[in-house]
Amino acid sequence: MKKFFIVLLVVCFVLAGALSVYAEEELTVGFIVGSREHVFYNLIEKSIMETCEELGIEPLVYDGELDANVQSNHIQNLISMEVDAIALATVDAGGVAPAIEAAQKAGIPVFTFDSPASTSKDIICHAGTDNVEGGRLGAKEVLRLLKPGQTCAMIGNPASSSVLDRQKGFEEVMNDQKDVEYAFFGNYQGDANVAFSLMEDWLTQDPDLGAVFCAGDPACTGALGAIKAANAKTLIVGFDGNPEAISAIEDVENDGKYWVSEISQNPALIGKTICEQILKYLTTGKVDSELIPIDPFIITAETLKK
Amino acid sequence: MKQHTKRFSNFVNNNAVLIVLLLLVVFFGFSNKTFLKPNNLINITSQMSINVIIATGITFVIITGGIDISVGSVAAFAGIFSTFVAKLFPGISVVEGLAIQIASALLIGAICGLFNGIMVGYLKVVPMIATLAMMNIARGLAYVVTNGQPVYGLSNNFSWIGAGRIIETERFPLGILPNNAIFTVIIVLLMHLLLTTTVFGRHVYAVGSNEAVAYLSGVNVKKIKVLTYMISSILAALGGVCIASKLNNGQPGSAEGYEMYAIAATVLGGTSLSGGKGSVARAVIGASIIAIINNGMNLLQISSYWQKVITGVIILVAVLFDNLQRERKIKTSVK
Amino acid sequence: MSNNCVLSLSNISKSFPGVKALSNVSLDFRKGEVHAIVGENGAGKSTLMKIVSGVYIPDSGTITIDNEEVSFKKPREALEKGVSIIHQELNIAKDLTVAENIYLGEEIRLKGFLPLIDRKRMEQLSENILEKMGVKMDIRRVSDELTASEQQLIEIAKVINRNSKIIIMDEPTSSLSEAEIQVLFKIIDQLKRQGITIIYISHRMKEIFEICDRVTILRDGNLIKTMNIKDTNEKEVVANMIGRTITSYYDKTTRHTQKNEMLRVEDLTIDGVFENISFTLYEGEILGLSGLVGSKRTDVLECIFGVRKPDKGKVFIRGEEVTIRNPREAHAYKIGFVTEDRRRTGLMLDQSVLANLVLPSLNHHKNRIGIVDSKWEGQTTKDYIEKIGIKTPGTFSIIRNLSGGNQQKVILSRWLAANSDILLLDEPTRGIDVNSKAEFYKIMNTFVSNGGGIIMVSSEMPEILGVADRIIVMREGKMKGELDSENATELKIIELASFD
Repeated sequence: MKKFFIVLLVVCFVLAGALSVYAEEELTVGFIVGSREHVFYNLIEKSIMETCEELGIEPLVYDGELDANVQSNHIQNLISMEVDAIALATVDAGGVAPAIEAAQKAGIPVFTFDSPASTSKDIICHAGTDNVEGGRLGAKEVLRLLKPGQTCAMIGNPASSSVLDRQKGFEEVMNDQKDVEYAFFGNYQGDANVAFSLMEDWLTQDPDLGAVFCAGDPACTGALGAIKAANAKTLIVGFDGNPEAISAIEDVENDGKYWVSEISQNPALIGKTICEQILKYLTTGKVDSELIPIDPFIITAETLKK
Repeated sequence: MKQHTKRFSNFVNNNAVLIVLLLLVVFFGFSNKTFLKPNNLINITSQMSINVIIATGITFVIITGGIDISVGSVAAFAGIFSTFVAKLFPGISVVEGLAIQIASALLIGAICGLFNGIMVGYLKVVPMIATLAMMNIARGLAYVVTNGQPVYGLSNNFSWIGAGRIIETERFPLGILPNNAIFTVIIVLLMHLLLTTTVFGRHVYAVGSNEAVAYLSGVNVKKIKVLTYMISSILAALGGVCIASKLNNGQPGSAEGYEMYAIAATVLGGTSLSGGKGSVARAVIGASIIAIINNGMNLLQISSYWQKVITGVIILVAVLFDNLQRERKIKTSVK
Repeated sequence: MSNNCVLSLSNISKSFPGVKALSNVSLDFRKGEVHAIVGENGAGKSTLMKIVSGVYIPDSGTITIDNEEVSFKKPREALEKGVSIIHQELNIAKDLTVAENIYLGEEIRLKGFLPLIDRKRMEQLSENILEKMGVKMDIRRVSDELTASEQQLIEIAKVINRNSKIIIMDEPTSSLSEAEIQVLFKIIDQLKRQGITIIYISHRMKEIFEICDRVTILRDGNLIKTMNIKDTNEKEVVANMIGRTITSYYDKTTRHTQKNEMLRVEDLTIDGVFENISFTLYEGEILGLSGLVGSKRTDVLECIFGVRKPDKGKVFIRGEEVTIRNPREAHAYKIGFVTEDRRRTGLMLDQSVLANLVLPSLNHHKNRIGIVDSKWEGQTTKDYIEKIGIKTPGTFSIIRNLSGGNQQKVILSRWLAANSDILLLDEPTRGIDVNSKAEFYKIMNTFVSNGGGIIMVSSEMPEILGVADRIIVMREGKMKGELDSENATELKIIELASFD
């Protein structure tokens, strides 16, 4: 019986080897997205799949589960599968550094998208939203919307590095303003219901709160609910550019009265760009630039009409 | 005089948690001028209502000596489900919306609870493990059916139960009573009566106090367990549709970790995790404490990191105090 | 004070809130004596023993061991001075082997710095100890598989191994059968000859007079007197315990059994447990089930009650064949079951007297939507507290705080309130005091004279002889004979129970 299993095991290995040889005719690239539980990454993934199809790359996409340990494991698996390149949206730049190094030692080029692996060297190319710039844009939108004498607030999440960047950009602009008061900052912990309570509490303290910058769409959803429930006039500037934001802004009679502006990332372009750069590197050995910032852009009811 | 101090210390001992609650109210009332404003108090009742509903359900399971960590996921799944159904009927009225919400909660809650109950009651799976499985299944399904995207674009009428208020006056143009708080009060009252006055309630306590005695006394232990898990899941699902209604939006990732808040509320109220003891009222007190801490700290602009630390410490202190009391009681009873 | 005094207590007092548990108790224990401590429940026996073994700290008074004054702050310190206690509820780790249990907490470590256990040496030494005790036991067996008496032997081995000078035994025979008790007595005798002092706590007079040298009687926290066993008799001791002379322990009135059949079992069998049990219970009688521990009497009761499924055999209730698949169905046939282990299967310890008393009846006292008839339950509980004489501060008192006898009365009331007419009682008076026992028998008698029937399992010979109308003796899962109360004697029962 034991012998039978050993034979079976050997056969499996041989078959697997044969299959991998067969598969090598096409370029294989491993992608690790931040989390499949986020719309934003799902949109990047969609774009990656489409672009790869176009370019003739075989994509292997994994869910990083917002966990550096999970991401490291995926990288190690991809190394043993001898993929041609690895591209990842890092969750914790320091946490995945050793795994990235191992991949590089194995001769596999590493690319990053969305959030950079700032502590790792020799990343071939990074394509991602400039979150600091996004934060600045958000602040500018808020300033544009505020009436004189009104205060503003921000809902963020200090647990996420990209949201921290947005906060940095936002505060950078706000600190230069002398006549506008930036009164509240709250952490919504990625939970729309928490954002609802935060907003509700602030509105009892300052019913005339002019505008709120929400550094993530779930925060907008929560804030929107609370504003509507309190019958307040606070305006929302969102961040992400997910479909629900667009749908809300379009709905000018209702949700669009509050949720008036959105700093949109461009997940489709991020996905497309990184795929193109990978192919370019694998065929020519060069990339356009080590850092390709994908600028966020503003969505309002007007821009949508166009 | 001695009699007096003794009576006072007895009162303190028996109502430690209630006193913590009062102290918190006094503390926040002094340190923030908004805290005791009627509007803020209305907010607190509305903010705590979801945790109260979930904690009420979980109380049944905890009294039988079990635990249900699937409540957060079940809530999310039921919330998603209700928005999914609501999306099929664009022009729904308030009543239709409510009907969809309650029907979704009953359906999803009953299915998930039945699964948990059969696992624990009939197949003898450890409650922690059975509900851990359900926690993953329900959360996974919430992502599967939505493909990870929120469900949005619902009629405003859908948010009546979660964000609406009744009794509009001049001073309170928004209404005084939040609908979800009224809804919660109704549920809590019904569940309180169910637990204290019915044979079913007695059997729940019996199973938790001593399963062998309950069985030998003719209690259908397995059935009672299934029913308690169903109650827990159905109330969690009701909480979930309230969240979805409040946000007017179905978030597959919502209510993450709410099982811990619910368990904390229940235990904080003095329900024993070893079963046989506890009540719905105690869970409500526990949930109030948590809600007041969160609201008060939001108003004081305390960083969310510290909020977590402080919440943890308060839970710990309250429960330790409770244990101390219990030990003292047992010691005096051993002659 | 003579030289051979090992342990001397002087003026020990201890109070708990509201209770003076011990007042000025002074007492000497001699080297190599077996000293009985008797008293009703609540007389202060356990408090005294807990003070001696370091669980409680006395409010006043001194303890002297070998002429050296000691004060224990925790049980460990008492152990180090050579005082061990064997509790009524055995402290055996069920998943460990015999040897591991004997060395529990005193494991022998292998030489070197690693925390490894020298299993071989432990097993060897354990074997030596058991051999010295004259016991044969496989020391590699897991304790869970052992009988209650074997587990007790392990406990004794454990304390011998710790070189105890004084061993306190709290109701050591309560879960043992006659034959096993004889083994225990032999060991006690041996220990005595080695100069070890045994403090023996028991309710059973017969044993005390068989094994002990002196007896100390406590009542309401006071020491009444200490006597040499040679100079006294059972009646005098009991009279001192309860403060009055009782004429008869068992209130047995001659009953005229009407020969109305209540319960009949035929060929009841659970493979590998018991086989071919057949008997009939008639209206108005108490049927005793006697036998050694391990003769599977409890299993027979459980099988009748629907807890265990029979592989073969029939059960008839009032002549009609029935299948009882679970306790719920047993209730439908008005059967009640008082189990042997009060704490584990009899009581909801942290619930009120009321909740414990009405549990099985609730389903018959509710309205259409399932709400309990609270008037009924309050009244019923009050009625039973009065009728049965349950001593409790109120209906909502937590049952944990009641004495064993009163707890047992609540359990019995539970089945009376459920209108049972067949009661299965498994060791119903184990560990309760003399007075409560007498009251308990009275209740049983009233119950049967009102047309009920009782099957009682008891390992106490005088009890079963004094109470039962007929006695069925079992051995190793088989029925060995039936005796009428007129011609049943202890000898006959022991013969049937232990020999072929």
